[in-house]
Amino acid sequence: MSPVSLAYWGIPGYVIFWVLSVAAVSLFLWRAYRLWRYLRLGSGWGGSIRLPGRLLTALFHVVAQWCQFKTLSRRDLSGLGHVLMAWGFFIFAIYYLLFIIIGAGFGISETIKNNSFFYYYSWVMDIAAPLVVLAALWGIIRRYIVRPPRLKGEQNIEALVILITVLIHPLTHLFKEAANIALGELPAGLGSSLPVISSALSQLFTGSTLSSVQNAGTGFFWAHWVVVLFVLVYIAYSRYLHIIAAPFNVFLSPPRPLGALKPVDFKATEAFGAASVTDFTRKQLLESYSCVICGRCQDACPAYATGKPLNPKKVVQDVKEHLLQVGPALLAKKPEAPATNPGRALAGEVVSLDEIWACTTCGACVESCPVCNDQVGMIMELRRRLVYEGIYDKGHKKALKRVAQDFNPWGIRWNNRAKNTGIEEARAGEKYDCIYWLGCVAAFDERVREVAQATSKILRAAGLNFAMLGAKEKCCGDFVRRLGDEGLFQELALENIRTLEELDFDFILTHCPHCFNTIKSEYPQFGGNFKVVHHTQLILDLLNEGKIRLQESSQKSGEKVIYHDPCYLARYNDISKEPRQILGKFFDKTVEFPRNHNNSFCCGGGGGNAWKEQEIGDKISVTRLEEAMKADPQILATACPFCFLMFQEALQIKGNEDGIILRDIAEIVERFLC
Amino acid sequence: MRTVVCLKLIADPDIVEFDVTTEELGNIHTVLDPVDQYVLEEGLVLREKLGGEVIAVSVAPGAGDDILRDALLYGADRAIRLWHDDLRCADTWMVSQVIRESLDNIGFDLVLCGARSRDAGSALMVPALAHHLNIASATGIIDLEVGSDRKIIAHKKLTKGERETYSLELPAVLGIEEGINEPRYVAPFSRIYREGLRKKVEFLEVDITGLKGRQLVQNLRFTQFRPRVKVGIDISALSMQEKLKMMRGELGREKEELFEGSPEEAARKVLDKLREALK
Repeated sequence: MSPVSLAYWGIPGYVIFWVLSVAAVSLFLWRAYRLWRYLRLGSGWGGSIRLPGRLLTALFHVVAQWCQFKTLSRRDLSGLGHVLMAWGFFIFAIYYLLFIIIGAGFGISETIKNNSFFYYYSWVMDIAAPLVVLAALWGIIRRYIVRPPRLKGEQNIEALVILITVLIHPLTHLFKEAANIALGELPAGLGSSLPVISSALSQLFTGSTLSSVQNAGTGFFWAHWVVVLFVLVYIAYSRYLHIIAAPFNVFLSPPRPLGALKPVDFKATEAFGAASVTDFTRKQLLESYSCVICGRCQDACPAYATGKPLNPKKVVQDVKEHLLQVGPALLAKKPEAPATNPGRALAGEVVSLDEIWACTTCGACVESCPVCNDQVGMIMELRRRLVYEGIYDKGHKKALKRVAQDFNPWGIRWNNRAKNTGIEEARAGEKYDCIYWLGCVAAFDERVREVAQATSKILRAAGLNFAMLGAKEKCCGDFVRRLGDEGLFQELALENIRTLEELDFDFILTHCPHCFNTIKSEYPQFGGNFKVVHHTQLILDLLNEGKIRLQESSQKSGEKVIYHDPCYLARYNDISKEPRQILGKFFDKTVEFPRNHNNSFCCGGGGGNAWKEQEIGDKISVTRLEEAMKADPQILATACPFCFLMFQEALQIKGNEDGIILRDIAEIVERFLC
Repeated sequence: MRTVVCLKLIADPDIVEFDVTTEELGNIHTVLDPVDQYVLEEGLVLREKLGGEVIAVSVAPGAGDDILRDALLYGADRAIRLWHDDLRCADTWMVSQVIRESLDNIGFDLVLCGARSRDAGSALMVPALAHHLNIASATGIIDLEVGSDRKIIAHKKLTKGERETYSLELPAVLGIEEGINEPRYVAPFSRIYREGLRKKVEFLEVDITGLKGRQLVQNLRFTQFRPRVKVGIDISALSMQEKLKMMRGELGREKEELFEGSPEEAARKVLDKLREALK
């Protein structure tokens, strides 16, 4: 007998069941509808989607829980708890739908359960339930006793409510099943052996009267159904909206690696950047729904780690909170009313200026996010808005002005660009193997110029016909764009593309990951389709093909070398093996940072912050250098001029007592040239 | 308050090349005189503080439209180009009269100029304008306060960090020194830039026949008296030691020498030194 078919105080069980269920579902749907309408305030979905691939990725992340395993691989055991709960959730959801709503709700419990599918399914439930209980217990212990730092600053009450319900409902389910077994109801009699745990629990009922067991079964049934309905409603009203939003968010996320920001069409729009939540895409608003404040981005963020006010998870949450606040007012507004932002300004008030400027755009948050959020994209929209309004950090403003005037952030007159490098300037009409794109750092900084000279020495050794652009080269616009100055970026991009198109060459070579990323991923947005190669890729190819002659030596160098992965190379462009393979050819001992490859920790120079005084907190570069010093290397190698400059500065600040030698990969290879 | 900022179009002094044989300038990139960035900024800052408007004026051929358009994009309320083809080789006296004529039409409370332009560097514009307009003037201004009571406190830069402070009253002509402020940056297509895009540079054909002042000074030729070895300092080419010297201001400068003794003795020593140097 299903408890639903009984009557309670003269009211049929069916009435109680359906009134409760419909009420809960209505509450859920009403809220979901509101949230959906808030979401629709956003501008478009942000790009097209290739359906089969995205669907597969989403299934992989959600059903197979790849979202957790990819972070589990980074020594994060809490992901395991999530996997257990998520799988438990799916298994329980199917059970509720089939056997409670359809079965009990429509009075066909006996029919739907009387088969081997139910028998096996009750076994599955019997195994899943205790695992979910374990996961919930571990969750409670972790959250309230272990207290990992990344959960700092959350409203823990929501988590407590959900964890307790997660703990209660498998337990009530097990007891309900145990009572059923004690009563000899299904799944008893369907198969040779009964589900172990529920049948073990049913031993508790031995000696009780039949009616008391029946009462217990009925009690557990209603208790667990009320909990389930409560969770359904609670999901929609708390941050556990994540459960509904995250699968769609993963589905809508563009494939990695990320590299290009969205261009602004200045002809189509008057303003740019996000002044109000309506300027975010619906995808970006969905990201705020999906975030469950797990804090992995906070852990990964170099700005947060060094005590700056930025915390990616807080940015996303602030946007969500603001959306829920101003959503009703925005919805009530007539479409023809002027576009004013109700409430506080998004850039500057909802998210503070210091937060917005502290971002190095290293992408560690994006990389670590289990629900594929793009926090950097959000911050970029806010930065663009600040630029539109003419609000700048002092250092950023100076750098931008210099780029606008002299096409480099140093403020040295443009006619002095790339002097004394000893590299030939490209002439129109001549055919080159490659154009060596120097980038602003090598073009003006005397130390990094040596990197360019080392690279050109390798190119000559390999017999490549190459040239540089000289004074015609302009800043590629990487940091300009990442500071939000899209207009200046587009000017630079178009001028550089025009310069490059006049020349005849096979590919562009650069030693700067920022220039590399910009020319490779962002110039195609403006019609500049060039083959771009990073110098580590080229050098490795040349070494493997034996095109450069090296000093004959039977032994590798015994120095201990550590390699720092530049974010724009390893994370944005997935080039982390090449530099290591090059180093492996010359050195016996290579050591690693604790955070390496695409999990690298920023040097602090990205996103225009090489030009900003880090007034708040520690210097990111020093923090990273300290990580290196723990490994006690003799050579600190990198493959990015900005990382190079930041480490140079850090070595000065920190004092280089151990005599760590800072080298670019090209310089290391040059040393072994014949 | 209505501030008129006078902007000068010059050939970029760092880029321009001088051909000694033909005595002609080559590689001319016309730009706004660097000091005038500060002049424009000062006008905009005063508008922010006191309200009113900023009007940019330039006596320049067609290329001057570029710098005036930039002034509009940076937030100037109006931009007026004044020109007549006969002004091509005009001296400061002539140009100052042209500006004066236009000022009568525009109306002003304060006129701001660069203390000295980067190309000609005569530093005559401010006194000339003050003479024509018969109003107060000060030049070499490094710090400026304009009160709502139309009183100006202006600080003039002297050598070795010394300053002279003036008090004068509007209307006035002031010559602005570089470094008085930090010129703003206006990003392309930002709010202020968009507003500037909607404005147009006005053009006034100057009637020079009525101007009573003739050309007083004529520029005969522009030559290089002694060929310079170094055109400018290429910072990137300097060694660390040289860079440090440059920061201390020691690069390319002999150490100062102190001549002691009574005034007569000291003067004699100086003369001896000079004679020796001229040998």
